[in-house]
Amino acid sequence: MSKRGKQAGGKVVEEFLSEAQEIVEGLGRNMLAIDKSSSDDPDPELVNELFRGVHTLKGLSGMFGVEPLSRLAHHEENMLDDLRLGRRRAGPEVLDLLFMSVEVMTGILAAVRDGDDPQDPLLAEVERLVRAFEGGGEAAADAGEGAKRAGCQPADIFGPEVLEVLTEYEEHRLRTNLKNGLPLYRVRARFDLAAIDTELDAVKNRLKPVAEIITYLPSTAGTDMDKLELDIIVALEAAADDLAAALEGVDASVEWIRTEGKESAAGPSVVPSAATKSEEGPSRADVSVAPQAALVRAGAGDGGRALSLRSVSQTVRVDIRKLDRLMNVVGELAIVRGAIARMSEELKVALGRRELAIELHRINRGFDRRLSELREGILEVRMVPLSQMFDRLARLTRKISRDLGKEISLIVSGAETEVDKLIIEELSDPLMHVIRNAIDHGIEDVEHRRAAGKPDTGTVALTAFQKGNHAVIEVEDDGAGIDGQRLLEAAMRRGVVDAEQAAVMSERDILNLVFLPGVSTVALATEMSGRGVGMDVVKTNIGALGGVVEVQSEVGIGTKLTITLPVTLAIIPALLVTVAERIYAIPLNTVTEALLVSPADARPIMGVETMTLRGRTLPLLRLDRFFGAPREGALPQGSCVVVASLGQRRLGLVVDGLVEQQDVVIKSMGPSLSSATCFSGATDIGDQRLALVLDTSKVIEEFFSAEGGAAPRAAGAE
Amino acid sequence: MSDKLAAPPSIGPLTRETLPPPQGRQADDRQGFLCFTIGDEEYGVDLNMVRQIVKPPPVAWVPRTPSHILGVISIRGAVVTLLDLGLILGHGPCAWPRTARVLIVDMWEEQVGVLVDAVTQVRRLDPSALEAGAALSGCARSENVRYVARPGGGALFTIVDLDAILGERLK
Amino acid sequence: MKVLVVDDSRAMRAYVRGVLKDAGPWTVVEASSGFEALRLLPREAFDLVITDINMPDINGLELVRFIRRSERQGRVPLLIVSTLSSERDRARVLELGADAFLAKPFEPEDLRGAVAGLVPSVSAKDARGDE
Repeated sequence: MSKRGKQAGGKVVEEFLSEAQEIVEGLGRNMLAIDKSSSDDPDPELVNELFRGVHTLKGLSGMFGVEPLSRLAHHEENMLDDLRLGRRRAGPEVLDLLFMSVEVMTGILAAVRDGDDPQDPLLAEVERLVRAFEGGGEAAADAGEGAKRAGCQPADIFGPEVLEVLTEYEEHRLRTNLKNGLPLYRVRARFDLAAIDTELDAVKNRLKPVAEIITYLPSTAGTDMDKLELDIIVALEAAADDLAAALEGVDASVEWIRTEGKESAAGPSVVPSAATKSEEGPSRADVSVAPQAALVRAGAGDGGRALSLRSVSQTVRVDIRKLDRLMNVVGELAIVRGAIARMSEELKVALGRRELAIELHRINRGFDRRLSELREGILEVRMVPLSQMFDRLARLTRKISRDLGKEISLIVSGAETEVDKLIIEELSDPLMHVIRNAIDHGIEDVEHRRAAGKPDTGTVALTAFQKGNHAVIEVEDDGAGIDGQRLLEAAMRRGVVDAEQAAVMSERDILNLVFLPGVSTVALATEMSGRGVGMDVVKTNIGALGGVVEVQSEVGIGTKLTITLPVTLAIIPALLVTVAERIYAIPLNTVTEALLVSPADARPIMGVETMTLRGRTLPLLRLDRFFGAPREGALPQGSCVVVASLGQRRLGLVVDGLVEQQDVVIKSMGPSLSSATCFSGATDIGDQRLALVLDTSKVIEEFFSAEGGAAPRAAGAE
Repeated sequence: MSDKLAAPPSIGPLTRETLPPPQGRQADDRQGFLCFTIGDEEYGVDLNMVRQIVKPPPVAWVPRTPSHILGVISIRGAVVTLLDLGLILGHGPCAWPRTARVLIVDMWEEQVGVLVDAVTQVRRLDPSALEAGAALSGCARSENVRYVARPGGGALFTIVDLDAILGERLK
Repeated sequence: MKVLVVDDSRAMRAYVRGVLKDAGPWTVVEASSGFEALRLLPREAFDLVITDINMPDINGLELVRFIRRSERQGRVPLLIVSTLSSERDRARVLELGADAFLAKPFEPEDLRGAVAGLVPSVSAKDARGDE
């Protein structure tokens, strides 16, 4: 990122990254919608939407010094400008290029986010292609000239009042509609400024099925501070009656705008009954691949509704780290609650204040309940719908099906299902792989499909729903199914299964072989999915999220993969400590307290370092020694002891210092570290850094089994 | 001219997460190798194994593991084991030069990171340029060597069999 | 000193806000659309309006004309911050009464300079240097 980007400060840069990401995702959605309409003459509003997205992206990435992105956006803007101004047609090669560039843009943004150089190898290629397109817009002049030659010019109809505030694009749309002989109308409506967004959206939704909106002109006549009169100039694509019907119930007047040579067109007679304003526009049939997604993400650009951040007026955007901080506070409150519980116990036992203790206990229970509610509330806020990821998968599907030359129809449902944001991030790679598999190996080529009496177009259904505390995602294809016999053979070749085992395997067992390392890649290897990553990786990744994958398949009918995930992640409160200048996490559920100790507190008993805590002897384990990096001598000044307990056993873990308490997501380490049993995984602590999470119970077990032997050693491992 | 001369040590385009896919299915049976250096030796690995090349991220050391396991790193949200390839191949421990890179490679059950001193280039070699590693048998580290490559006239370099070496070390 | 920043990009607004924070005693009010601007304009007295041209619904040209015609805010200094993609739109917005045009991308100094040029009291402050 450039000097300018750096100067802007981290927060602004984050805004940039998240907004840019949203724009790029919006581009993808609009492209899908255009692709779906499969016409060389796509809805001008969608194209304009694309143009605006790319335009904003260019401006933003220029401002923030992401040069490759702004360059690409710049060339693409020119190309899209040609498209929207009718100087070029949107053929499939243009769409392919646009789709490719969405991928590249996503890559660039990811690189910037990670602080890498945005050097996507595809970038140069895409840029070259876009530039190649830029040059040859011959259709251009044609259309432009054609429009100019046509009899009626905007200047013949409108005075400077309207003309002077039309942008170049709006003027172009006006010309085009005039050329096509569509009648123009002026819809005048008054809006409450306080609610103009929703009110106008309602009117827009009613107008869009019957007319193209060319511009909005705020009238300056009104003196009312709270009202705004707006003239909406539209080109009517349907009959005048339809316009009247569409505006039924809306407080608006409609006026026909006389255009030359069109006197015979409908007169200014269309005046809908002026009743109370209706809030709801008619619900339009969604043509998007993700209808639910569109419903959830109010204003997301499907069939042509404006992609607008404003319309998401009931939502706030929150940095996930702020939620993490809140979660930490909850964790700290949990410690307070623990302390109060101990105090009430002490009141009862030591001081004999039974009644007071009962009262305190009751209060503490109430506190506990509220705390759980707070915790659940925060977890709920972290939930996001699957729709964004599903949109990406829809793009991917399109790309793969084109690459492989297979016709695929992707049916998406349940995109509104919500899961924790972190789960979504971790889920998208495995899901992509699953979909790739379904298209590549599942769906047969056309000849085979015809022979099997199936329609030419293969179907992949991506379905999500919530089931209790779990989210279920199913990927189902109507392809060839998995051949159990081949799978079994592959497994036997790999040596995973021997003949004896094979003999007693059920059909289900055999299908599950697909998740064993190396089996799916051998049995199913092709160009696309066969490169090393197999279903085993999918299973591992899903397993790391606490989920399970199951497969059902019938030869000739299809395959269904079912992923069941917890809705929220295994987030545990942990204490971050330092040992020999490294940070480790100790799960709080095993920690009873943490205290500062001085070197004099420690004394050896039978070779084991111990200290006395409230009259009881507490064995100590110096974690630096346990970790195999011992420092000689007495306890260093300023050491802390974290008291961990497992059943009746207590162990004081000696650390160099306490950092903070934090909720952490435990991520498992690979099989290559399966011997590191004293760690249950690692957790992100920011800046790409990881901290290992101590498996306290394993440490205690190891300590006492070593110590229980004839010659107790100071530190279990060494 | 030809690739004899074309070998600038440009690693730019490779630092991003995706490598160019092996060039389709052209009538080209040359195999791609990603070349890198450790100490003053040049090595190559099968390009198909390499998923990603990254600058070394911060490493969390994992106590009580062999010294060639440097620790774990965070790659796109996943925890990945990082190995010091130099140590495994009989060089000293990596000195972490500025050019050091981590190759993320696919092993059987997981992706692992492999630390090298520098990534130099991708070479596409004709099978005839490869000599079986057996030619070196007797040499101490021959079990790690799959081929010795002699790219037309250029210096030879060793193609290591990561599957074999790492597979052994990761058990 | 109060400025209204109209841009549909929240990163842009954040950026402008950041630059102005260092440029003088500005209170920054943000509007993410032309409508929002229309809603805010009659309610508060602004010393400066900074707006983009390409926005959904009401575009920058319309906003400029609306402001120039309104009784209360008709004379407020208007700075257009937009990309240079359409020469025609740029010329027109100046015809409609915008005071200055700053092309994106720009450096913080450019924006501070443009603002100082439009709002004299700030430029006087600037001349004395940062406090």
